[in-house]
Amino acid sequence: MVIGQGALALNFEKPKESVVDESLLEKCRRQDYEAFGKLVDAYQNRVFGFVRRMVPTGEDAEDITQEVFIRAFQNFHRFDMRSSVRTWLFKIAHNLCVDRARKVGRSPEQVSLALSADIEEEFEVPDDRWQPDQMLAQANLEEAVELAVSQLSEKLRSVLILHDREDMPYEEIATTLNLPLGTVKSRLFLARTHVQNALKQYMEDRNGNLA
Amino acid sequence: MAIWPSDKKEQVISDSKLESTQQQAIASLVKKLPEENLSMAWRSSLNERIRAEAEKKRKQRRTRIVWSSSLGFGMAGAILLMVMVPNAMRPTSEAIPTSNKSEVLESSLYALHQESVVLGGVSSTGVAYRRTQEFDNSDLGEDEWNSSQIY
Repeated sequence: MVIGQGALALNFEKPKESVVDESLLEKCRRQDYEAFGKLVDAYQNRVFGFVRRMVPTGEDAEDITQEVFIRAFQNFHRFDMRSSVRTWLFKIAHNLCVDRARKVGRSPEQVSLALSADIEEEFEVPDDRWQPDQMLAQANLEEAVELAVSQLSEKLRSVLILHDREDMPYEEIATTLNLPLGTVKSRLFLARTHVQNALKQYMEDRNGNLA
Repeated sequence: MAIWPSDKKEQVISDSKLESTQQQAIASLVKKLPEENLSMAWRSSLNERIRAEAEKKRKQRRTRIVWSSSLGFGMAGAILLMVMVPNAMRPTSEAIPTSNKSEVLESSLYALHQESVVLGGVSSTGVAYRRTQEFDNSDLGEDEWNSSQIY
């Protein structure tokens, strides 16, 4: 996608996966403080980015992110290296977010989801005239996307962020969230459709205000 | 890699839907959301917590080593006691002759002593010689003795 002039400065840095090699993980398993620090350097912003979008406040997100790394440090001997360390960290993060949601009385289980069979009946898919490039030019688009994502249920949001923000493949998301592969795809489709509708609404409101 | 068995048809439909232009446009927008950065204060707070956790783990490990070695020594001592004490307490078949032997030795020594006393009395020097020896060792001078000291 071409981002035209005047678009928001959206920076997305690729994670430094290469710094996390086998020897570093082995040191972490032996409770090496310095090695664990390097692991934190590699993942802290990514984990925080996920958690920040899963809980309502930044303060909560900071607390949970700290808790993720403390739990990882405490239980590194249990990490069997069959999955990637990223999968493991995001799994801890997701579980802590779910725990937090339960504590404040917003159980993710209570969110109703329409699954793939009803997708086309449930959601209106915008036509091809809708152009994301034009939307990018809008000053408040970033906030609109953030708002649309925050309005998703936890179940849809987690899949959307892990796939579209963290570039996780479907299989890894399935492992992280302990879901069947088909459910991951259905939820991703639903999440994107919700965001698309929210942005369409946003554009209509904005155009109405300008007129 | 299929982790769970899933309906092939559903997967194909989902894949084609997920790869549509509109879906990819949303994916692109989500991907370009700004990265959230954590503060240095947050990091130093985390470092402190991890350091405290590492120290706690080290202490636990040390305590575990001390306890396990103490337990090992304790167990070994207990086993040793269990083996040794009953053996020491139990009267063995060899212990009884030993005590008999000592009694025999004692009685034979006593008999030997009595025999030597009798022999001493009967032989030439006799009791008088022994008594004379006793007087020789007394503090009295040769001229100062009297008959009452003999009897």
